[in-house]
Amino acid sequence: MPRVSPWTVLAAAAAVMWLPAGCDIIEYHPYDTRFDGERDINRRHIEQIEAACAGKDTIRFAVISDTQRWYDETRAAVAAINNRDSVDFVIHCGDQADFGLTREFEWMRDELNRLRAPYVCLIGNHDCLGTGSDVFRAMYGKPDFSFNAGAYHFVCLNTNAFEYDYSVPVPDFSFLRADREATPATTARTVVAMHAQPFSDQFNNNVADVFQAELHKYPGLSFCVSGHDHHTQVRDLFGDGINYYQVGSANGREYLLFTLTPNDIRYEVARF
Amino acid sequence: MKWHVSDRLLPGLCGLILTALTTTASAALPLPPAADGTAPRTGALAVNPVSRPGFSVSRLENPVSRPENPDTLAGASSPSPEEADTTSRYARRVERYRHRWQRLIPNHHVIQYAGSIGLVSFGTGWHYGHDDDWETELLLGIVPRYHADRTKVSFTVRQRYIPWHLPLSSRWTIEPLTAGLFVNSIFGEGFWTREPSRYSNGYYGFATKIRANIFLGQRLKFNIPRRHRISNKSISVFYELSTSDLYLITAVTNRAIRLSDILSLAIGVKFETF
Repeated sequence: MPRVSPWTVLAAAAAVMWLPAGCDIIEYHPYDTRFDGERDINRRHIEQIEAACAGKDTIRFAVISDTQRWYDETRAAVAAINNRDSVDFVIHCGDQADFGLTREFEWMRDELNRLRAPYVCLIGNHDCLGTGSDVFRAMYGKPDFSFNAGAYHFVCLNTNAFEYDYSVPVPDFSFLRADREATPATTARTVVAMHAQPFSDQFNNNVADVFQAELHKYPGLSFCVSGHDHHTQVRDLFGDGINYYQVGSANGREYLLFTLTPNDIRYEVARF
Repeated sequence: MKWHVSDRLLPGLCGLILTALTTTASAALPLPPAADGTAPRTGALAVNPVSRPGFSVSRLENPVSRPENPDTLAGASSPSPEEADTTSRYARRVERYRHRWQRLIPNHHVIQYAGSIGLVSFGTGWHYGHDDDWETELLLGIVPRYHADRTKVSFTVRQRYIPWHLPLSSRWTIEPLTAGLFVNSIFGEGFWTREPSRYSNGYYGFATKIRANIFLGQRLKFNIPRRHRISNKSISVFYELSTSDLYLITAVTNRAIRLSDILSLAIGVKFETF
């Protein structure tokens, strides 16, 4: 066997090792909360939504959820939603990370950024793991937020009570009260989105009835959307005519598409 | 039995058990032959107090020839034959005990940038094996807070295999491949090995506190000439590309996540003390 120079061995091994190297190869810790790119995404996308939907009577939005560690399926869902007509915005009902790792949020942001319509993300229980909630706050914003699309008010809540102790109110009734008072008087419908719906293992079921009563104080409460349980389901949880539409996880290859008009609510379970 | 105890107690217990076993074992093992090959003779034991690292010499001598050496374990006065017998057995045992613990002195140190164990990490370690082809390191790293609420510390145990040391000259050596694994633990609330008891069994099915990683790397070593040595005999620069268990699972099940997405680069310097 011919004598090979040590430099050749070094170079050959280096070439093989560095072939797959990417741009962001520096990581201080999987939970270091250090990331590049867009931050405060919910606020910026809400500005776009409110501007684009102002004065509109008919609003169409898609809901996806629990895309954790299903990046291929998310890419397919995004492509399918992009193929639909006039989707005004997309709501992600939480669990975009599986382990709360900082890179997971970056990877999912890359997938969701392929959406043509603006999107907002809610926080799920898996998103809270490790330093996940810190990354979520920095990348998307506060876990409780709301916005208006035309005459319709959308309230997005953190309902993952099992991940918190009592120092953080989950659900946050102070937020609900303040948000209700700030809701425009012209609001025709209110839609509430959350990750874990009442009577799930994550929800603070001790206050389930109180929660529903608070929601009813909103003008024109129409229905709620949620995720967490990884299968599509529609249930009138409290027997009060308010349906809870639960979106399945990305691997189930279904998403929900809602069309709101002043007189009508239509929904479709779309397969992709 | 439910393990409510904190996960700091378990390593402490293991350390205590390990120490007890080591002490008992070194006391119980039979006497090894003297370093110079001669059969041991009864008499006072004179121990060379300036032991070379990793290597200590016990010499058994007639007590009459060295009565005034203050360092002899036997003391200033010459013992009786029965006493001498006991003393030398004790001395040999203690010498073995010291020799074994001496081998635990770390013989290299590492400073590293990044590599998933901290912005900067400091470590100490042992290189051993028939050709210095194995290394074990313990490191502490600092993870700045960025968007979290506090700066954190992480602890890493790393094991490395270096199959080839290729000398370029008397001064330079290339180690074209290093491979190994490391286990990293991050300290702080919100990280657990086992889920808190309020969760049902296997709710999340993994530990946020502990990460297992594998790596490949390369090194370039500069051997410091003897007359210029201050505290180290060589300095190496190295890099390592690693990935963690969770990243691997993610990449394997998703075509959208490529190998380039899951790699982490470490760059560092290793100082070989002896």
